[in-house]
Amino acid sequence: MLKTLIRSSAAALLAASFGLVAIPASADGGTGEALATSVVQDASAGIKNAMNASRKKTPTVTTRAQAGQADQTMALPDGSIAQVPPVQQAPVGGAAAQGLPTGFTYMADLSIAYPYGNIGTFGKKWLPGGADANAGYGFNPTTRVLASYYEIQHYPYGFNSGTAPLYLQGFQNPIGCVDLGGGNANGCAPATSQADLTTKDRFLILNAEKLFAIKMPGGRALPIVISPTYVSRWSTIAASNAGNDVVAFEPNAPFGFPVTGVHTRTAQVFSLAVTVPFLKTSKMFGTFTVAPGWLTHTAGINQVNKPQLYQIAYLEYTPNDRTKFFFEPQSSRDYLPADPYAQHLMAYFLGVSERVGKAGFVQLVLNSGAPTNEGSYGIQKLTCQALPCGSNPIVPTVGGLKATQIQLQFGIGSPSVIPI
Amino acid sequence: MKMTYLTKTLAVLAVASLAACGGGGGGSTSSLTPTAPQPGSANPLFATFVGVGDSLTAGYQAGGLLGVNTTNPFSVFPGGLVPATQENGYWALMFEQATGMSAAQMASPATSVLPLINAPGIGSQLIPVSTAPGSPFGGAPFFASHPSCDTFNQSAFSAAGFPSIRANPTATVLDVAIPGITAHEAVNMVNPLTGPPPAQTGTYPAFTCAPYLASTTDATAGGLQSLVAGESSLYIPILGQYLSQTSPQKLSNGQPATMVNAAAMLKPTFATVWLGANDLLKFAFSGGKAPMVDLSQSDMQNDITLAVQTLQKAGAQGVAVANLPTVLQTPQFFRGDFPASQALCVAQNWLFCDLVSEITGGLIAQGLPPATAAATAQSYATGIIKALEAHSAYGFNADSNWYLTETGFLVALGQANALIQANPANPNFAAIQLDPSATGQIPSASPVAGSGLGGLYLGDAFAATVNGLNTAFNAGIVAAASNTGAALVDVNAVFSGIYSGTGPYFAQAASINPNPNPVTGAPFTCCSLVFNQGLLSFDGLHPSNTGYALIANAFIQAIDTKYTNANIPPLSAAQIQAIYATDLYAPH
Repeated sequence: MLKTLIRSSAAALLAASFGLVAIPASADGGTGEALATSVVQDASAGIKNAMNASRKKTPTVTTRAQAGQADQTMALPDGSIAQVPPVQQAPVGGAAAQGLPTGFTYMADLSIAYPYGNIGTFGKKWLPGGADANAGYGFNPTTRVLASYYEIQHYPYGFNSGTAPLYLQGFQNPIGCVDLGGGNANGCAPATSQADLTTKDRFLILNAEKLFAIKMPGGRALPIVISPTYVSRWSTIAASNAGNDVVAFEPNAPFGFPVTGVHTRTAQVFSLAVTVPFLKTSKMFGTFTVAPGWLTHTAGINQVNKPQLYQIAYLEYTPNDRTKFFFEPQSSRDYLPADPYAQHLMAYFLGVSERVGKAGFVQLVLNSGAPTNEGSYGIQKLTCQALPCGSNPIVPTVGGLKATQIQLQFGIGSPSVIPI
Repeated sequence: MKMTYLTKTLAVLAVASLAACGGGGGGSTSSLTPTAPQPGSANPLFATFVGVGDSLTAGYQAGGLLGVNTTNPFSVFPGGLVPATQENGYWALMFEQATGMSAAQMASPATSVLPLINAPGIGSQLIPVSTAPGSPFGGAPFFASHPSCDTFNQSAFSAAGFPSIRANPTATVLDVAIPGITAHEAVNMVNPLTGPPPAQTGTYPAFTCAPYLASTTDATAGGLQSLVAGESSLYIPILGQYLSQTSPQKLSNGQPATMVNAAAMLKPTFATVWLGANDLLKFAFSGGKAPMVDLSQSDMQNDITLAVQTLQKAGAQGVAVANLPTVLQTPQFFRGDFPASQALCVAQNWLFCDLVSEITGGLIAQGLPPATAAATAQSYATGIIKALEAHSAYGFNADSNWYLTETGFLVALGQANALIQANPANPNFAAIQLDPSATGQIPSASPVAGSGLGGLYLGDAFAATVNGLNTAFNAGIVAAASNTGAALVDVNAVFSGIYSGTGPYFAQAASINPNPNPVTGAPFTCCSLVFNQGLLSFDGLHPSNTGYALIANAFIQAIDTKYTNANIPPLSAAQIQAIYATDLYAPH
């Protein structure tokens, strides 16, 4: 009778196969890293230039007292540009180095990346190439506008590795488990096909930068940069049948319903970044950026749109005028349409860049990130929409996106960090 | 399995109907944006009166759901009738009392607010027949009204079948209850959870409904599919016109296509919520193996609360929430051991009493004098129960609370019959086997110990677990009603009161037909919770017309008490008598 049938099904479960139908990547450090790339490094460069100029007692920025007295702002003497590390602070095409770059600047690069970590065997391959570019115009050493485009490739943890419990839609307790890697780990049924989670995020970033000097005790000025920023991001996920980021997923809260037709990695964000320095030596430099940000509108399963606070530290070491090592930890936020609430992401970049010739560069970056307020691996559980599971859609509940990869860039201009 | 045997018919019923839960439509169906319905109730509180629930709210009876009367050549009901079930349900009766809708309007596809199911119905109603083989002792034999896997039942799983399944496919249905659905499914399930079972083989009545089969490509075939087949078959027939044509698993308003969301889409002014029975029954019938039920007070409380709050947010000015009867008190379950007194047999469904009654009738039919038959039957019944208690695998302890299900009762009765026929002087009741083999055969030459748990019997420990879960669920329902400000309908008090054999609820039930029962010898003819004694239909779980009427009054009383502007007139004694007079499931 019933129990016998259940026993039969349980036995069958062990020998079953599952094909994952649609898998979304849920989150990454994307927006935070975009801010880091487009805002923090540019602002840091401006601050560094300003501080270098200040050490040479050549005021570079107007103070509050000097507001409206533009003619009192003194330019750096000729040759100042050679006194700052060229890798980060020498945008191609720029003219001034006493603050933010003035005039027209640009950067362009091509990149390749390789994923690391617990991603199973399916994703162990070179990720598709990416391209980045930015162009800016500095009206004066304190005011600049910048437009950037970045492509970020990654392959997240936990979609093709490990095991995940299998649920039947609408029910609370698992009816089995699936080995996402296709084996029989822990006695779970093998997933006979793995979805290709190769993901390429694209960012368009428009921001303005304003360099201020805050008068400090002792008469010195502390330069800070405030950057109103607009970020528009979109994505392609290889598993998407539509060639974009529309993939089915099933959120956890408050109750699971399959969600279809949502661009899972498309969002627009406003933010206001404030960057301040905390370290300045002849070879080292560090800044800290806080950036309140909020979605321009909710989408997908977003529940609220409360401002989120991005925090990004930046530390660089420049042993000579052609080489730079840098470390950039950050506490970021990602609030994508597949997230009911914003993810708190901890991520870091560790890299080295080397200038090649007058305008070229090569940069190698190791980056990694994972959310802290939800399961970091990709698939948290699978939900069979209808029996039999073997031939019906199985929709994943996706946790945070943890990813680690190393990236290699070849470009001209000032290298930027390619985020996760 | 061959459907020509009563025992196997009920075995199927227990699995496919009682323990079933609902599913949802992945496909599109005819689209209708609900318009403000229904018959003009003078009371604005009931301008849009919506029902949320399971088979009890849908008006399920005797293993099937049927919106129109039909006939069957084997039925011994007058005119070969297979009676409609839906318009006899408590919700239909309550709606009529609240809004003034007539019973004729409720039964008419043109005006009904019920999702009337066309003939021959979904599921497979039990009908009494006169010549069915396999009736061991002359008791009322039953027959399936049609195969539960026939073309009609198969088509219920698909959107394409919807127009022919429903007698009123474009009606604005206000009773969206889906038989088989669990509380958790009510707020979660957005599509059918399984497809149809394999089609029947053979021709009715000698047909076979093959079970869902396990296979290498179907990870969850078999029992799990059977467990969710009921609500899966009824999801589209109930909600079909509200489902989106373009977005799978969505309603026409874009919300996830759950039953509760469908009810909310109707913008109810008042709603009833009666859920949780299937959560409990699926647990019970699966021997606790069902993996997908609410399993605690808080689970149930959360689901009921969400359902009520969803309806309140949609505009419901009042909501009535009902708790669950103590399911082991219903005549789906035959209490083991020996009753302390014969008087208990009048109100409660004891295995001993039913064995004596059935065997006595059989022996009389074979020509024994009534007194001799009764004495012999008591001896046989005693021997059967002692033999079952001696079977260690079942977990039946003497002087304790163990149960056979209706299926288990009929299986035991059938095997006892054969043993008595083989050796009337000293039947070997120790050979009675309640554990099927791995292939499900009963009796089995190679039984698998424990394989009958839930489906055929409940040992002491498991019965206690079921009772504990029953209590926990009711605590969750009570808490949900309290926290949301909803009226609480204490159905449990009604059933427990009748089960106790004393008090006003029992007195009311026993007074429906106070004349001595000429068949059983009971001091009244109707009604009680004894199997086939008037309050429940043949499946032992779903009420008869009369039983539904008593439940309707329990709802009305609770609503009128909570909402002073409700003023629903309860069904009068005369109305209940009229319902009883035509109730084919109640003895007369």
